[in-house]
Amino acid sequence: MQSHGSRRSSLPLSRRTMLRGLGVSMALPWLESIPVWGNEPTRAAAAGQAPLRFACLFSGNGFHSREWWAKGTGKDMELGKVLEPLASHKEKLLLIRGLYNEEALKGNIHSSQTGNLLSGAPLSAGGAIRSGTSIDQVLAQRIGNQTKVPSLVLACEPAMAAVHKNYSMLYSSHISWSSPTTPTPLELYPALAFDRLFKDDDQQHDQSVLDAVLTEANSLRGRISRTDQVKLDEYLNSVREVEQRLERAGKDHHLQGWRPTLDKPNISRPPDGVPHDIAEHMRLMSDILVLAFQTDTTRFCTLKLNNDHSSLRFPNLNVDYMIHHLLSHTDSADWLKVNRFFVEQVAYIATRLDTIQEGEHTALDNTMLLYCSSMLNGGHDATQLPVVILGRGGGQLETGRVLDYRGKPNRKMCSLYLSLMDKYGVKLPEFGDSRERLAEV
Amino acid sequence: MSIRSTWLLVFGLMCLAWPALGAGDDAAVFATLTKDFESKTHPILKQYCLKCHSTEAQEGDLDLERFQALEQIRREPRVWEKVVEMLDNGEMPPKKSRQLSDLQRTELRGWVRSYLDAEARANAGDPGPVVLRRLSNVEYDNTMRDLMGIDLKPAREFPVDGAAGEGFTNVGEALMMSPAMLDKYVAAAKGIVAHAVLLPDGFRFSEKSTRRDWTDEIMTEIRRLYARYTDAKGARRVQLQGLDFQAESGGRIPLEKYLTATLDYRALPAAGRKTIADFAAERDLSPKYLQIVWDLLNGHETSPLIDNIRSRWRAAQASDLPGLAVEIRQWQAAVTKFNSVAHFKPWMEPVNPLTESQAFRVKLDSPENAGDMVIRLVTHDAGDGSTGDVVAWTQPRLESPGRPPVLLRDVQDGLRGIAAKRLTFAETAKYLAAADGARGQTTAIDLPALAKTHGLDTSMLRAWLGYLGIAGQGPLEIPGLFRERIQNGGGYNFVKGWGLPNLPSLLANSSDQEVRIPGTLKPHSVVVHPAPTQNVAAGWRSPIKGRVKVEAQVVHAHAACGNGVAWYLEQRRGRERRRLTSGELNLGQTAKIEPINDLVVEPGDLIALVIAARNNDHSCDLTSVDLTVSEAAEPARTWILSRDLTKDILASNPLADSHGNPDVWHFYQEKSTGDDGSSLWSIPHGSILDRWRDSVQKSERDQLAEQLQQLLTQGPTGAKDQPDSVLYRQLTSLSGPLLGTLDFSALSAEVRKAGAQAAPADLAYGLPREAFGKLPQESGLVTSASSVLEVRLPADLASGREFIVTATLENQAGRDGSVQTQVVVTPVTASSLIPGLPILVRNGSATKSRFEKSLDEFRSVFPIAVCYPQIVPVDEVVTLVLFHREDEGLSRLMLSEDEHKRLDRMWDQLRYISQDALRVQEAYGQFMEYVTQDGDVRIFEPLRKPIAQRAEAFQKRLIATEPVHVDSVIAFAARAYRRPLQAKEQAELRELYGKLRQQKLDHDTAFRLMLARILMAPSFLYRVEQSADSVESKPVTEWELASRLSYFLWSSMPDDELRQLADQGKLHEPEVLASQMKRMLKDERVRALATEFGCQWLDIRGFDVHNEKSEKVFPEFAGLRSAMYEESVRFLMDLFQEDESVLNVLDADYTFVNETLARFYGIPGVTGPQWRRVDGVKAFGRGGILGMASLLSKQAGASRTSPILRGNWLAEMLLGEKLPKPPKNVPILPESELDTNGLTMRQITEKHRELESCAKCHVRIDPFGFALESFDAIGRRRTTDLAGRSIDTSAQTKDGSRFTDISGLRDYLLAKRREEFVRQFCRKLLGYSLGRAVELSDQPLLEQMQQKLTAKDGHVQAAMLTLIQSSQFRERRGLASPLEQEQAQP
Repeated sequence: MQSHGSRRSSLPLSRRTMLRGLGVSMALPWLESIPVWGNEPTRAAAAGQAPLRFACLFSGNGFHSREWWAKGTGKDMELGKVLEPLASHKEKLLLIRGLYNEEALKGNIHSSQTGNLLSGAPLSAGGAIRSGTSIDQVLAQRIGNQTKVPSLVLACEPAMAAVHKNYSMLYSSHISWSSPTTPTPLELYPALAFDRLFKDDDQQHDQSVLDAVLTEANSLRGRISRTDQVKLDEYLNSVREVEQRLERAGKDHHLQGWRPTLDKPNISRPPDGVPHDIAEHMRLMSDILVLAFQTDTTRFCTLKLNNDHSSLRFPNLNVDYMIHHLLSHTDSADWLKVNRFFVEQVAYIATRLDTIQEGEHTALDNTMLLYCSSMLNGGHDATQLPVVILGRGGGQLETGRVLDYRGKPNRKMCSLYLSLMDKYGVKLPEFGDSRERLAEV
Repeated sequence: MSIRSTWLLVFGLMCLAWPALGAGDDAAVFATLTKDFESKTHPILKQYCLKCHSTEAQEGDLDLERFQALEQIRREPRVWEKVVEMLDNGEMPPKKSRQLSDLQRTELRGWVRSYLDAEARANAGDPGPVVLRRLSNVEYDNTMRDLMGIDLKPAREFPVDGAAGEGFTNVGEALMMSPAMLDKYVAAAKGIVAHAVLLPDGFRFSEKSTRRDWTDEIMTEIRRLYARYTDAKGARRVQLQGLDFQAESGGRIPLEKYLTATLDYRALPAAGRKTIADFAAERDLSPKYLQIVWDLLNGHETSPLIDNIRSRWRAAQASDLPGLAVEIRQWQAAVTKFNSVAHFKPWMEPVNPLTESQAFRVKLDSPENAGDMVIRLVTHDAGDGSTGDVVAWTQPRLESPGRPPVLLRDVQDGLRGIAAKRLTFAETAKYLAAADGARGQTTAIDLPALAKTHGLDTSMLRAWLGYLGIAGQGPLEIPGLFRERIQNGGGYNFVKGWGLPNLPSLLANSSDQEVRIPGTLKPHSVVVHPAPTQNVAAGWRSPIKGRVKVEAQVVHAHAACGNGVAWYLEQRRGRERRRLTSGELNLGQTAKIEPINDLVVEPGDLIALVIAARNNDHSCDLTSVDLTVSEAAEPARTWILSRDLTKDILASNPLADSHGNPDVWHFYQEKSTGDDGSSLWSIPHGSILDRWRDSVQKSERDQLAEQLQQLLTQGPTGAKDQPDSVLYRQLTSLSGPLLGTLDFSALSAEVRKAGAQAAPADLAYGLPREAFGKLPQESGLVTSASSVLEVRLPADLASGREFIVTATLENQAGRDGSVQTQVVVTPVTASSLIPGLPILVRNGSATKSRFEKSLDEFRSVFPIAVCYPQIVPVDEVVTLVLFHREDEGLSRLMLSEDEHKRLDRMWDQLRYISQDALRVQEAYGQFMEYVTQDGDVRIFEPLRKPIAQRAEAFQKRLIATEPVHVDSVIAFAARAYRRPLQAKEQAELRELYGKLRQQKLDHDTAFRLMLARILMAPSFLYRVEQSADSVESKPVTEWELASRLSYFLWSSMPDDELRQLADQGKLHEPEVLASQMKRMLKDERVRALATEFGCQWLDIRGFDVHNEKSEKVFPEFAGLRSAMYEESVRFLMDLFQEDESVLNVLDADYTFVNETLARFYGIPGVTGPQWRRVDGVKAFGRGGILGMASLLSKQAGASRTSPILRGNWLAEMLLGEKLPKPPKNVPILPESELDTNGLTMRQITEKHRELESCAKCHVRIDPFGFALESFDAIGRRRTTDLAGRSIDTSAQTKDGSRFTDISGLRDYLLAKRREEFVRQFCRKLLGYSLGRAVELSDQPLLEQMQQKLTAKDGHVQAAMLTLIQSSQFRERRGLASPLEQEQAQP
């Protein structure tokens, strides 16, 4: 594994120096961006610089109550048994303890601990659906238009259609929210996720059709109630976004002059349907996430490995007798085994990203991969959430550290989100229940 | 009418007069409540609650301090619903805090209850906040299904819908839209429109999405109609390009069925018998045709053909019918012929069996020693008596190729002449001597002179010379030598040869490659192809003198078609020709040719292998040939045709051999003698005569001549197959190469000239000369009906020849006659009209008219086929017809007017969908360009114009139907939007079409995009309801009401009847609404109500794919889950469709099972996969939802049961109890029933209750679960758990009731919890029907529903009727309240 200094100042400068020194003898695909660089001298600083990606991976029901921990720094970091699969990424890893969402402590267990995980928003009960726009979607909506697909929202377990103790189970199965009333639809099918990234069947005349439905929707809007208008606006906005995508199609939308290391997929389209085996399902979705970043088809992706209140079983691990949710109440060896299986998925993605060379860094260096759950352990404890970040955010994130906020006054998840968003140039005065940043991040 | 008052209150508009009845009462109630709040309630709150629930502290997010007066309370009644819940659950005040006295508790609770009741009544009937709903995935699929008529389930890969409101997926709040979701809708719409099939009058949808499949669909439908009335008899096997096809099959009338029906109908007593139409309907026959046949058979007008059938029918018993049917079929075959339809010909064509003359050619073949042959000239009276039936037989004679004909008239005298000629055998030596002399002669032979010189009979000498091939020794001439070279045979540059471009030809393949040209041409081989009357030959002209061995190979090289070839091998010297051997070959066969050894050749002799078309049919006659000549003595050279030719065949013709001799190989054509070699006899090899011919010594020849004379006079002595025996037979046979060449006419004249008396033996054959000559032609005969004239002939004379004669009605006497004539060799008697035989009548005669009329009548009622059922012709290699329609008979005879119209419509659609007019034009172009192989394409030239005109007309039609499609899309939009379209919307759709066409899109694409646009329209995807423009609630429109009803009961769009009622404005009428509900509940689509409402309420929806069971512990589960689900779905469907009591959900003693599930349940006597209701299932521990495996499995772990899950489900889902949130850090339960330290699941669960924080809930839920412990984790009955411990199902509830097992639980629920259960059912049904959460203002409606249920013994439709007639269901809120608007802001 390659290792670079983690000080952010060293990044752009050293690469440019190095390029001058070596000329164009480095036979890296990344060098294709050089002509762009040359053509746009005024944007030279930004041109050719790999974009910063954000991925959020989620698994429900928390982890083993005694094995989620880390201590020490860098290479010498020690990891609890749950986190051991991340051992090879110690230097690119930031473990944060003690963060929480105030709103998740109210309401029900499970569902109301999950639906607002990435927004910190209050949740509506009593049959209504209301949360907050999640961090991935805030980023996608502000800067996601630089790629073909603004964001990708993947899942390996279908959503649950029920209401549990007066809270819709939508909350248990959606961490990504496009608006406070719109959980982002989950793509469960690897093949369809692949198509969404790479299938180009939009045609020019589609524009006329979309114009027509937009006209109809606008004229309908005047005839329905205000509340209905809000609902219809979801439709209007969706049509507009698809239209914008059509407009962008064909244009070179690599605004930074960035040329991805792959310009088309290097894996074939996954088979139709949902894989029977959960390990295979997670692997395919992980590959798609990596491919999406590598081809720069999207820069924002959430991957929900399972639901909170999940009913997955794990015959692949020989843990077949109990579903994930019930297993979370046991703190057993099998529970640990299942925890590690999930963390292995995170490690897999990190490793894949880390082998993709982008200039003198890797795709992992240019990514922030957040992994979290809705509770610390099966006992529904959401007063301190398990959070780990992999990747160095283009050199902006100091990794190889453990931050512990337990007992500190400012320990809100939303403060972390504000800090992270800053690194994408999305500087918000407040988010969810926080107006502060985490200074150490 | 109800109004919404909540938000009015906000503005303090209480002073407004309520339009609702009882408003005055409300005011009084609220006044009392205000008073009580101030005096009693508020003080209690202050004392016990506000310390924690202050504005400051807001424990549990609850601020009760802000409620200072009733107005504030009335703004947020939900808070007070929660307060009641907490009090009822005993959760508040917390145990550690100061407790209320019982009185205070009662007072506080009483006041809040009273307030909530008053609030509910004040707003009763409020339609509530129903937010704009997108179609759920299920609704989308179902709507698509009902809109298109096909079930494509386009939403199957959509993201799962969320649930909200009362826990259902039809609630607007949970039905989100986003760009990713929109993409799914766009993709689905585009996928669906590919299934639209354009029709002349609109469009339809098909399961398939290719033109080919759509064409097949419509053809299948047409064939189905054809097959309904016809059967598939009459097939004829044809072979095209090596493939077998059935041609001419089907389309036949099932005659036996109709004839049987007429017989059976006849047997019914005439008085009061049912109509033919009814009778036919019973037997699934065409009433029309049965009537036609009946009328024909019972008719009286005479008609020769029909009379015959009629009289047979009248006398017929059932057993006679097959015979009658056979007769009719024979006539059918005689009066109709089939054409191949591939080139625009009609399939059936009438054949006229009426003729003026009938020519006979009877091949006479007799096995050896079979004795004499008898030919019979038969005259039948054609069924109408023998008046005028006088027949003239013209020139009866025997013929064979290459011989003079033998007139029947000359047989008697001729045979006497032959007998005289036989006497010359005694002078055979002299004949041979004369021949020997002639052989050397170089000038033409003067036969009479030669005969005279030797004192011989001229005709016999001519016969001898002919037999010996001695015609005067002129030079050998080959006039047909090919002059034209062929360079690129079959398109291959290595295939070359000689011949004419259009045959005959001879080709050689010089390569190592096997090619098809067509027909197989092997590497380094030679092929020939004869023409109809031109044989092809390859000859070797001898450059040597000596003895040779000749070998030949002949292989028919094109096995796929044609009739094979004939071949012979001959030796020519000067004008002599000697047939060495000959034979015929069938398709693909190889000839077996014995090598000819020791053949004597002179320089200049030609040895030729000749190939002839057989019967002048030269199709596919490609034949591979080879010829090898080897010298018997040194230098023992060989000449091999294929070796010498494949080097450079084109060098010259004749071609040099490989030994340096020029002009050896000759390739030529020769006129076919038509004999195919069979009548030219070869002198048997090794016989006396053969040796005589080859002998070079005169003395030897003389000796041999003597031997031959002896043979001919004394007969052979050797075995039958000895060369001399064969020679003897040849020379003495009447049809042999010697005597057979004598002219009977001349013989006869000779005999008569001699005036010798005939011996009696001579008169045994032929007919007396006096029998002939009664006609202008003196060789003819005359007969009358009915007669059989027998003529005896010696087998030796007849065999191998054809008897030829023409029969006509005699000019004068036979003018008005009608006969059928036959020439046969087997005994026969004359009879009346014979099916299938031609009928002789004179043109212009009355008899002919009579027969013509009869034939027309027969064809009209008994056509051989009534339709061409194949539709697609397969009767030619190349077809120019895609679909052939010929079904006039079917329509005329069998189809009702409606069926006929339907058939016309289907054909029109077939032509329209397949666009065959265009396809045919394309095919024609290619055909004319490329098809040159087999003859003249000019005969297809006349088709060019009609085909072009048809194509042009179709193009015009396509353009003409474009506006029809646009109109039909607009009509489709109205169905898709579930309401009439506004004029503006229509205009917009047309505008879109115009715009797309401007973008150079073709009509088809623009049409599909319009359809797609409709299927992604908000009016389709959303259930849009327009808002009233007043603050008051207003009834929804008729169309909106139709959708409310259909989506409630079917999860799908309104059907035609609902649409019609909406259109007429009648749907809102209560009795119409009620009857529609009853009608709709009978429909199959109620399945959606069962799954979307019932199963979702009971939390078992989608159980058929439930994947939460351990595969190790329950490997059988995967095979059972769909049956478990189906049981529940069917049970719930039945509940609604049969209007069962809602209590049956708990208490039914019946359920629905198939064999799989019955076996699992242990219910005996159920076999087969079909589903059925079974009663008395309580005896097996089943009945109602509590006994269903779906529910019992769903509420259990992966490998063990869970009394908690089951109990909790029962309390919350069935009884609507509100249980508090579980405490933090619940104790850990063991993982399996085997790993519990000896405790049962029940005992483990009971341990929970030792903790007080757990106990308060578990006492409410566990007992239910315990009672159900007799079912394992997949719902199987059990008495012990997996570890073998016995199960305890006894339970004690919080209210002190005790019971055991499912039956005890059921009784308890019915007795003590009935009301809660019914209320919960009503609540869920209300929430589902409206797609929203139940509001406080719904309470009165819920009570009303419960009352109706109680009054009507629980029958569910009572509650449903109350529901759909409520203002909640029929009305919609007006403008949203400010509060609501505020909440709606994102």
